[in-house]
This record gives sequence, structure tokens and C-alpha cells, in this order.
Amino acid sequence: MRFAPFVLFVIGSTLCLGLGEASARPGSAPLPADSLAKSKKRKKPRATPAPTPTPTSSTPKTAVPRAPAPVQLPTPAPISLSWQRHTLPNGLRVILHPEPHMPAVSVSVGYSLGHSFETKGQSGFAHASFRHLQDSGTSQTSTHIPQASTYFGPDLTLFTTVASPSRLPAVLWREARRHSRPIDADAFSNLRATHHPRRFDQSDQGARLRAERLAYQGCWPYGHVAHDWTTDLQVASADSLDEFRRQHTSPSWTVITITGRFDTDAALEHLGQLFGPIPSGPPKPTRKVVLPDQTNQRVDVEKSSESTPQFFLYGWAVPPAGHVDLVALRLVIAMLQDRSDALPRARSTRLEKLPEEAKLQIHLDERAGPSMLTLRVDLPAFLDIDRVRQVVDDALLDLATYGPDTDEMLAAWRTVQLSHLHELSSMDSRSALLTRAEVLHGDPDAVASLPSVLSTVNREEVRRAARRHLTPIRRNLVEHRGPRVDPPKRLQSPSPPSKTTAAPQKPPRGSKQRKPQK
Amino acid sequence: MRTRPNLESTPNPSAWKAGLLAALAPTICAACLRMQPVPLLPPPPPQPAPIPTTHQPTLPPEPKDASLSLDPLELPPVHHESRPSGATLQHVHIPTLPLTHLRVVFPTGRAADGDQPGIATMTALTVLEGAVGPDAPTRRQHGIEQVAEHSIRVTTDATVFSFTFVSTEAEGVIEQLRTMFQQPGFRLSALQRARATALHLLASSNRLRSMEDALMGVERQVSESDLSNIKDWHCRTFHKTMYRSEGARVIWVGDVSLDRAQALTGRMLAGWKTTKGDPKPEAPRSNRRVIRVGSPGPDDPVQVVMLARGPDRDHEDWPALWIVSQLMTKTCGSLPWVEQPGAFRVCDTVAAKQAERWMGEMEAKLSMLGSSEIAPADLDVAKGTLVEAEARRLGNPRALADTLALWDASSFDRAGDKLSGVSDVRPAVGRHLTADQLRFVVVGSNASNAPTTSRRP
Repeated sequence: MRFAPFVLFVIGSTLCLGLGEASARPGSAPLPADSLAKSKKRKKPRATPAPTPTPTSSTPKTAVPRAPAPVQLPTPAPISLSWQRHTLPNGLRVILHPEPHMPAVSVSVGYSLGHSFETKGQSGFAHASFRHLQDSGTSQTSTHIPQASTYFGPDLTLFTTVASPSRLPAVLWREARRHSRPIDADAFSNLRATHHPRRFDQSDQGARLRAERLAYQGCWPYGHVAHDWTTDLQVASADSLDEFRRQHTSPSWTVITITGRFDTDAALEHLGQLFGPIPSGPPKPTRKVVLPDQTNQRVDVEKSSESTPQFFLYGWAVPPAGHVDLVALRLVIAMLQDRSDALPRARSTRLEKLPEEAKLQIHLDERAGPSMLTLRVDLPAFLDIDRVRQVVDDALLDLATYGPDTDEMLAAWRTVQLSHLHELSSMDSRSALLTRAEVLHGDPDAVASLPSVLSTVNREEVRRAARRHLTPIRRNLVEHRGPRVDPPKRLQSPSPPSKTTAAPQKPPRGSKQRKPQK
Repeated sequence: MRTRPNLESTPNPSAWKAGLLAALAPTICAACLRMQPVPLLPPPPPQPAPIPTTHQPTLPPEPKDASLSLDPLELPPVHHESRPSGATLQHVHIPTLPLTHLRVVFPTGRAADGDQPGIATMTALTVLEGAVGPDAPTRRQHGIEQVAEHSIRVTTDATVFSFTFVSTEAEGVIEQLRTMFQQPGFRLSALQRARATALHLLASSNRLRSMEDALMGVERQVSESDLSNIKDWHCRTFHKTMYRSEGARVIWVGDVSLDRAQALTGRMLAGWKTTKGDPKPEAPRSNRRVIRVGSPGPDDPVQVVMLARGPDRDHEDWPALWIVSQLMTKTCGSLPWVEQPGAFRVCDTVAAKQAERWMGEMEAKLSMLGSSEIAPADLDVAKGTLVEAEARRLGNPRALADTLALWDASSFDRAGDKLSGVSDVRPAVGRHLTADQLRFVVVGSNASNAPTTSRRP
């Protein structure tokens, strides 16, 4: 069979053209570097070095976050807290951390008391019990032992007191009284009488509680945040409330930590006298709390018609205490929060576009179940809340996409470590941290191991933690916005020059005015 | 063959209904399935067995305050020595945590402003800001903020630079401080940041600064224009003449050993060349009895303070004066000997129109304390409250470092014992709190700083 020359020519041309196009497509065989260098317009050589030729390997046009280079972190500061654990016959756990050189003593009592322990029909019992414990901590005669600082959370209630060493017996007596005072009819009616009917969701803590309500939907037992005098409390009796109190303050559910200058034997003897006779209760049940996946943002927006300060709060349910992602999230917080040692308060580089008038607060509450991370921005009425939100959203998106850079990682690591050491250096917070670690983890050493765990977290893990846990899909937004108002006069920028100014008139024809020289 | 439908026949109703039902049955079944209630929360865990109510432990009697003696409040051992550089070193070893609090104190404060109000504060802030952040001319990548938390405080007669860092990074911190103190750059950017900080401090710490200035009888208040007129060469000159190692105090509290603290202090201050300049003229003094700051309205709240200079730091009358201060009011933010050495003070917040009346009441109460004996029970309560407050404060090493920066350890070591020894406060009142020794400060909010708002059209 013979082909016409013309046909052969067409076939050959087609083949040649097809090969040429294939070579021009990305992913195909690279072009020689010489051809690219020659195609550039040659410029007069200058002192600066010549630009390097385009890399021959083909690269996609869209930027893909690459695996960040590892950061060489300094050696973590070792923390060695020498403490002793004792368990009384009734199950009460005691942690003793003597420090002879300190001029004070700190006592922290932790109860497994919180709304996560409430069953059906007990909504609000935990908070009412907490209020009763708070009221029961007054001494009859000692008027200058300070009131205990308190913490009430879903899993844990803490009472912490710092006093002079000679007052340790009085402090322990007060805690024992707090522990043992029953909720009788008088105390119950007093609780009801001193309850001020107000919407707790409008209090200072209210925005965070509203975010928790959104975040923990469908999550037992975190799914409800019950405060105030609930319906269950209205139909309850003093006995039922007292039974709840006794159950959750039973010795096997309680931890006492003493730090500072004290004699361990004398302290144990006091504890045995005051807390030993308390009957042991049922063992604390183990439970696993699973947070259902959240697939869309949940919103609670309140609009006001009056010109009031605005705020918005982002809340995320994040992993429980002890999870490695939580350590990475601590670094994220350090990258976002303001520098506290600067005056006036300096923004982090990620949020430097946040207006000066905006007040930023970031808080992480570590819990046995899903922890809660909140980011709140308070701003005056004259700021655009949507624009401020955009600044925060952009910062979070950038962190989740590209992760932190080396300097940022080092600075965050140092900040978290310093902050942790600050917390531990103060006696009241150290005893509270040890108590919390024992109640939540069963191991106070978790407090001392944070620096070494921090040093194992790399940039990629921080990026992944931000991407996994701080996405808009898993976000819960609580917002309070009002009508826009004008900014104060001293903050108003000078008005731009008016665009309606008359254009300079051209000189009439024949005039002797000269044209402006160029 | 097609058959035409019988149009004249009427449809059977029952068949029609059956057919309709059959057609809708799948839809109805699907709707029923959808209408099933959404699964509720998983069932709660079973309740544990109730605790019997028969066991109510009876507590032993509460320990009485009278049976418990006041705690001596003994400080950890404080090492004190003079260094070859002329500086004084104080060291407290607290090895529990790898954290160090460093205070560097220069005996130069606002009283050295002379005819240039604000120069001491601006110089200190510029020195510190020069060490913060990257510095392109020196090719510095980052400043001291990367390794240490830092702050500064300028009192009437001292400037305190405060640093907190992890003990393992002490060497790096000292290298930065050496450059910061001995060769500050006084760059324009640092000066601008310092000015912004000084303006912020001007607005926020009115009461404290006014109190301190009142004690010193300093008449002139620093204004924004004063700060704006201060240039970099002013700060450079002030630094050269007033900052030196002689007379400086270096306080180490934390996980750094004495040997290491001595070596690092020497490293920080070694080779510091200072020039002796002409002493600045003293700021104009005034003996005004009442100093008013701000222009509040009659019903606006104002902070009122009654204060007196008091004796020297280590005078034996100070415990009695602390008790008097505690007896008169409880609203002061901190104990009198913390912020300003040598300052007895009583403070409160009242409406502006009641400030004069408050002053009269305080003077009358002080006069009564100086003439009548205090009931022993009231005396014990005041002492106990002071001891407990001091114990809480000293439970934090940072507070210990701050106090050592302004006071000698001997002044407040064993404060409990010193308070226990006070049985009568009248002699101390008669010696140090007479009418001509008292000063009053009234600090009101500045109305011009409040933002104005208006609705958008």
C-alpha cells in the first residue's frame, strides 16, 4: 500500500505538533535551562548578583503549605516538685508539698462537684451545692483568716486559702466545717432567699456559659449548663439536695493539697482528726465523655438598640486535659494573646491589625471531658464588629494553613513555659494546680511535666491542632452588637480633601499667562 | 381493538378511597419514620447508692485566735554584699522552680527631673525600649522580650528594672542587659515607643504618682507637652550623668545560686564607664497640704489619700504606723510599705464634694488614735489582718523581689514579731503623724479623656 506524499506530510506534521504540545504541558519533560535564560531580556549588569534561572522542575501554580522545618527549641527547664501522697482510710486523698523556706502555707480542697455529674432531675444541684459550700466556709471566731478563692467548673470545685503557717489548724478546721455542714431546711431556704433572680447569661461569665451551651449540645453530661434556681431545684427538697452534696463531697471524691511551711506529721494528724470520721462514700464512677462531631457553626447573636459596648466570643470544644493537642493549643493561645509585659499592651504580630480600643481575652479551661477554649473581643460601639471579626478570622486561617514561623514558635514556647512557671511559683495557684491534676488526671506530676511535653510539639502539630480544632465549622459564636456610632472626635481621621473643588481654570485664549513649566 | 372508557359510569367511592390509600401508603410510612422522635441524649449513668444520713461527724472545737500566736513571718535567708563595681547585691535562693526574678535598681527617680519634668521616666523607658524588638542597624534579630518578661517602675527616688526568666537563660539575659544599661542606643524608634508608654502611664497611674510627688513636695506635674519636648540627646545626657554602677542594687530571687549571681552581676556591670555631670537643679518644692489632680464634677468619684513621709526605713516605729493605717481604713490597694518606702498612707474613694469632709474625719480619727488607748481586741484584729495579708503577699517570690527592690530585708523580715511587740501606737503617732506632717492627695478622673459618642445620621 502506498501513501500519497501529501498524506505522509500531514501525518508527520501532526506527530511533530503533538510532541511539541506535550512537552509544553506541565509535568512533561523539562525544557533545557538555556532556553529559559536566553528568553529573558538581558539587563545591564549591576552590583547586585544576577538572578538565578528559573528552576527547571515544574511546580504547580497554587502554593501548597510545605512541611515546616523543625524548630530547635531550648532545653526545657526541669521542674521537680517533691510531694507526698497519703490516703486516709475513708478514701480521702492528701497531697503534701512542704517548702520550709516559704513564709506561708496554702490549703486547696478539690471536690468532684460540677454540673457534669448531674443526672436527670438534678439540674442546678451542683451550683446550689457550691453556693452552700461557699457560705459554709466562714469561721465562728477567726476574723482575719482570708476567704478562700474559689473555682467552679463542670468537673471540679476548688477552695484555696493562703495563710500564715500558725493558722494552718484554723484553716483546716474551716474546710472541715465547710465539708460537713448539712443542707437543712434553714440552709435550703437561705439558698433560695439569697438567690437573686437574674439572667446569668447576662453576667460577666454569661457569654462564656452561652458558648458552652452551644458547644456541648448533644454531649452528655456536658450538654447542660445549669445555674440559678432551676425548675428541678424548685421542686426539690433540702434532703435531696443534701444527698447530692454528700455524695459529691464524699472523701473518695475529694483531694486536699497543702503546700508551704508546715510540719507534715502535724498536718496529717489534724487531717485525721477533722476528716477521718467522715464516712466513706461510693467510689467515684469512671466515665468517658464523647463530644459528638460538630458540623456547622452555632450562633447566639443579641442585637441591642442602644449604643452599648459590643463584644463577640468564639468558643470551641477542644480535647480534654492531658491530650497532646491541648499543649499545641496553648502555644496557639500564646501566639494570639497580647504581650502582657508591654505598656501600653502590645498586640501579637498575628493580631496587630486589631484596633487599639479592642480588648482581647483568650481563655482555656481544661476539663476531664471536652475542654473549652474561648476568644473574646470587647470593643466600643464605634468600631465595626464585622471588620474586627475578619481580622481574627484571617489570623486563625493563616495559622491553620501555614502554621507558625520559627520566631513565633520560639516566642510562644517561652511564653507558655514562663506562664506555667509563674503559676507554679505562687503558692495558692500551685496548690490549686496540684489538686486539679490529682482530681482530673489522678497524677499531680502532670503539672511538672508540661515543659518537657512542650518541647516535643513542633510547628506542624501546632498547624494541625489549629486546623482541626479552631475551624469556623466547629466554632460557637456569641455576639452582642449595637447600632454603629461615630468615633470620638480625637479618633476621627481628618477629612480627606473634597473632590468637588473646582479644577483650575484654563487661562482664556490670548491671555498672557504662562503655562506652568514641567 | 380499543375500547372507549365508559364515561357515564360513576366511580366506586370505596375503591377510590382504597386506591388513594394505597397510593399514599408509602408516603405515610415514610412520614411516620421521619416523625419518630430524634434520639435523645444517651441515658444518664445509674445513680450511686445514697449515703446514709445517720453519720454526721462532729467537729472538735475551732482553734481560737487567742490561743494561736502571731506568725513571725520569717523570710528566706537574704544574702547581702557590696560588689567591686560599687553596686549592692541581694540574693535569695529559692530552688523549687527554674524561675528567676531579677531587679536592677538605680537611685535615680522623678526627683532628679529638675527643670525637665519626665526626663527620668523617659530615659528609663527609652533604655528599655532600645533593647526590645529587632534592631536593623545592630543586626539584632530579637530583643530581650524573647527571653524575659520585663517591666519598669520609676518612683520618686529610684528606677527599678524588673526581669523574670527561666533560670537556664540567665546568661543570655545578662548579655542583653549589659548592652542595654551600658550602651543604650537611644534611637528614634525607641524614643517614640517610650513616649507612647509614658503617655499611657500618665493617664493610668495618676494616684500613685501623685502620692509619691506629694510626699516629696514636688510641685510640678508632668504633662504631655513635657514628654513631647524630650529629645534623644536629653535622654542620652541624663543616662550618662545619672546611671552608674555605684549605688545600684541588683536583686536575685529564684533558682540561681549565689556564685552564679555574683558572676553574672559582675558581668553585667563590668567596665561601666560613667561620667560625672553637673547635678541637675532640684525640682521646685512646695509644702502644699492638699494636691488636687484632675477636674472632677461634684458627684464624680475621686480617690483620696492621706499620707505622711514617716521615719527612716529601719525605724522601730514602723510596725505601729502599719497598725494605725490598718485601723483607719481597709481600702488601700496594697500594704503601705510595698510601693513607696517611708510612706504612711490611708486611702478611700468618695464623691468629690465629700473629699474635704473625709479629710477632716481622717484627721480627727488620727488625733483620737494618738490620744486614746486602743482596745486590745481591736489591736489584735489589726495585727492578725496585717500578718495574714503579708503572708499571702510573700507567698509569691515575685512579690519578695519587688519588696527587696525598695526596702531592706531587715525592714520587713519577721514582721509578725515586730507587730506582736506593739502594745501602744500613741507614741509613734505623736512623733510622725502630726497635723503639719500630713499631706492629702485628691485624684479625680480627667473628663477630657472620655470619648464622645453620637449617633450616625
